[in-house]
Amino acid sequence: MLALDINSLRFKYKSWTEKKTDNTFDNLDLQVKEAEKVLILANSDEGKTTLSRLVSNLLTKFIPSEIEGSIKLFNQDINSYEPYQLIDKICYVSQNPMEMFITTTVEDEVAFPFETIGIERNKIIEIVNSALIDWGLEKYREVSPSELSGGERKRLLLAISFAINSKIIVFDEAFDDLDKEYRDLLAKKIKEKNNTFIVLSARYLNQFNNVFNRILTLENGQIHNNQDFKTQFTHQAIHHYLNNSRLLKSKDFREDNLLIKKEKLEISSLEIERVRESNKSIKFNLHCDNFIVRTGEIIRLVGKNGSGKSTMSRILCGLDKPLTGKLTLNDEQINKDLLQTKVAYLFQNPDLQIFLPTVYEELAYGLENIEGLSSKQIKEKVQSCAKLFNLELDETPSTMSFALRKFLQAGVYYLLDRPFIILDEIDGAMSYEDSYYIIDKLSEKGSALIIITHDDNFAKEISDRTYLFEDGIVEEIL
Amino acid sequence: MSSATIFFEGKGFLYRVDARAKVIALLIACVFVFLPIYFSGILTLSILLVSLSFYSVGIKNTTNILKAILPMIILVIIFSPFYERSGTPLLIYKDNLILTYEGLIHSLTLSLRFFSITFACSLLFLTTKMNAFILALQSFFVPYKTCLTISLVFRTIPTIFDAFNQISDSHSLRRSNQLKKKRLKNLFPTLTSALVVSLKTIPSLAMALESRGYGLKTKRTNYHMLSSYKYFIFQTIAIIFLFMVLLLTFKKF
Amino acid sequence: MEKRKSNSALRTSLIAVLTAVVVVFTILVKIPTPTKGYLNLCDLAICFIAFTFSPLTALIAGGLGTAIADIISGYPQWAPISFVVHGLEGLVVALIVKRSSQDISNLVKVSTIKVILAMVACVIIVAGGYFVLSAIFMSLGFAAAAAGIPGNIGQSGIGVIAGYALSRAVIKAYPPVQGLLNY
Repeated sequence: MLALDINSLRFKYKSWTEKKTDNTFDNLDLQVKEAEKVLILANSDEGKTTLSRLVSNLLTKFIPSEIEGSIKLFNQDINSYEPYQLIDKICYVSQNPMEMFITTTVEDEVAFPFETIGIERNKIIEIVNSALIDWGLEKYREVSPSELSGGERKRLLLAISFAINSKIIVFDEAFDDLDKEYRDLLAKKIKEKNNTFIVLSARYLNQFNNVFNRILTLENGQIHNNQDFKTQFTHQAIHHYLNNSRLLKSKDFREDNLLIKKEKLEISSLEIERVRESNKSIKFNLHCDNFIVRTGEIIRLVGKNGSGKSTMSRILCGLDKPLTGKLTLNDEQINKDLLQTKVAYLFQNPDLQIFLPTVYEELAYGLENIEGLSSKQIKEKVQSCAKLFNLELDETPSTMSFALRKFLQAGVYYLLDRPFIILDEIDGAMSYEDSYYIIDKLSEKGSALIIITHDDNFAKEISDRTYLFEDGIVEEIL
Repeated sequence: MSSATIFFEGKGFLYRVDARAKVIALLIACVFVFLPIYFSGILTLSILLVSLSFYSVGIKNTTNILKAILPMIILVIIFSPFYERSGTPLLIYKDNLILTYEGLIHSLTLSLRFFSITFACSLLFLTTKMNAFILALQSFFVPYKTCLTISLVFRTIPTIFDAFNQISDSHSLRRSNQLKKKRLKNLFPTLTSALVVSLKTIPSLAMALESRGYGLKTKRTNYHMLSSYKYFIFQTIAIIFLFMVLLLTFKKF
Repeated sequence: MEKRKSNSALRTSLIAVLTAVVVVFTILVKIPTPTKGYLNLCDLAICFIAFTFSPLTALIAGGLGTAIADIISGYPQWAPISFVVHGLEGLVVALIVKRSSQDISNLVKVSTIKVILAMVACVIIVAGGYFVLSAIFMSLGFAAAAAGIPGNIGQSGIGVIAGYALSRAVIKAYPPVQGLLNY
């Protein structure tokens, strides 16, 4: 029997402005057999999230849209079910765990679905315990999910999904945010279990080898059987950039061709302490003897989830103060306020840095404060920047695709000519191609790029140096 | 502000009292202070509450509550006595009656009422976890949907708070000049984007609810449990008894 | 093929998120005052909701939001009064400025008279409500309760204007909010 059967699916979101929206899917067909394991590779704009929500019947009830064609689960049209009736049949695992959480503690989060379906209390306690142990979350039992790190949140979401154990599990970028240890665990579970698994991803990871029965791609609104996926969805994608950009050029070349002032940022004997509010006994310390970055350089900060990469970045750009430590810019002590105008920080979530109604206003916002820029100059700068990052000036940022919002976020800092730019998980939920595109463009003026990633291989070929975050210590690896 | 609660982790006496019993005690206390009783009655209750507070949440928390209400108490004490003109004179300045005994007692009664209500409320929320409080509401026949909404609010507060802080952070990171900090000018766009980020979560929160089975007609079970009914009933009887004694001792009627 | 089913989950989420918005706006900016402890942006949030969503939504989010804000910021004794006053504020302002969801989406302006009327009503409810209720139920006496009046007048009056502006700005920046107007 077919677990999932999609026939000539057409779908588009309702447009709220005069602009017409394009079909997200156009005559999409997909058949998945029971217990089959399918990987669907797609770039970030192709509608991975839309497809996963559609097959779980979660989308059309809550977001106005137009849909044609049929989606069947085990030979039953999904429209004959309310979404909540599908809990034993299909489970959607979101790319962004926070949006799936509905309670205030980790244990309640696991317990909630079992409370709604009326499992008796003793059984729920057993389920919660084993789910938390499986995914290494035992000590966070009473912590609020909002206090967890990105990786811990993802693990919690996975723990819940495997506990519910629906017949079909749809993973939307489930491997994102996880460190190697848990990526391996997830791949192992997918391989061993008898459920039907549909995994959607923007990248082909090493862990995917020998796990899936079929590997498909989602391009231009349809499912394809493209066996040449590796050139586009693996690290091989970097070669395209290495051949024709400044990135390939040596560090010396980049340093000699700066379009901005040469600067150097240094941190010594840094000490950071962080405490979780809801559980004060879980403490976290970070120590860094020496950290240095110069304009023209590309460096990487790698380490597991929750190892303090983001915490350190917040100090680097002057948002937080360290417990102790010395920060210098060009060998002079620097204060928080000045740091904020020197170091840009691209948050993982672009929505927190985008707030105006049009792309034009968004890009021009920072420039308007710079003295000596005429409105004509601003306009020219904004236009060329929009072109560089494939943006349309009159679009509404909040309704653009994730990748385009990321591009806009990058464009904002590109225009501000910051000597240092921190890119937090630029590879998260983005295809290699798009991530490298942003890195390539941002490095053009010679700004130092600090790339945060937990993917050991990401941007390896183009970086000059790497700092490893491990066991509370930051050290350069040679 | 990643956990939205004033709950204070502790092991004192009040932590061992059932949440339902505490809610009942709070309601009785609020009614009690408005009953026709002698000043000494309210004074006794206030002293009782302060000692309970010392014993349960410690000196620091107790002084914090005091600090928060002090300005208000001072206002009441300064303004109210002068309205009461009749009675035994206490303070006369150049033939003008300034303060009477009745006036003083009246204003002290007003302040101690306010004082007792504040202490009782603060103690409830300092010693009761939000989960337990919501369970208590549920056992008082507040519909599940209302309780779920309240718990969803607590789930959402940290997210919006974080979003707001990160948005203000990103505003500071976009300044072109270190000296210019236009907090007020930035407040409006910051609020706008915080609202957009919050509104965006509404459909996904609804999806999350239904994908976890919200809407099913089956009878819900509870993972958490308050202490047994025996405990609760025993404690409630003790509380009612205590207030009866207070009332009988200090009643004016 | 648009579907309209009963949508309790969406309604619950809408109320919960808007209530949380009121809570955050209330505890975000605190200007200490003698009476209620602090001035804040709660009226701004409530009026934003009243100008954008239904009167019932404004009632619940306004009342529940400010009550929860009082509880978690250490002023739990005020929660019942806040619930009544701000709930009523949301309801009345929303009823005065009520427009069809079509008009809200198209950013049709609210007439100046209605805005002024909403301001007057809002100021009377908030300043008057706190004055009367706190004098009686918080046992403050009318003299001490009067100390809160000026702050409340300013805060709620400005709240109406700013809430209106915010409503327009949000619909412009995030058009899909129109999909939520009917819940």
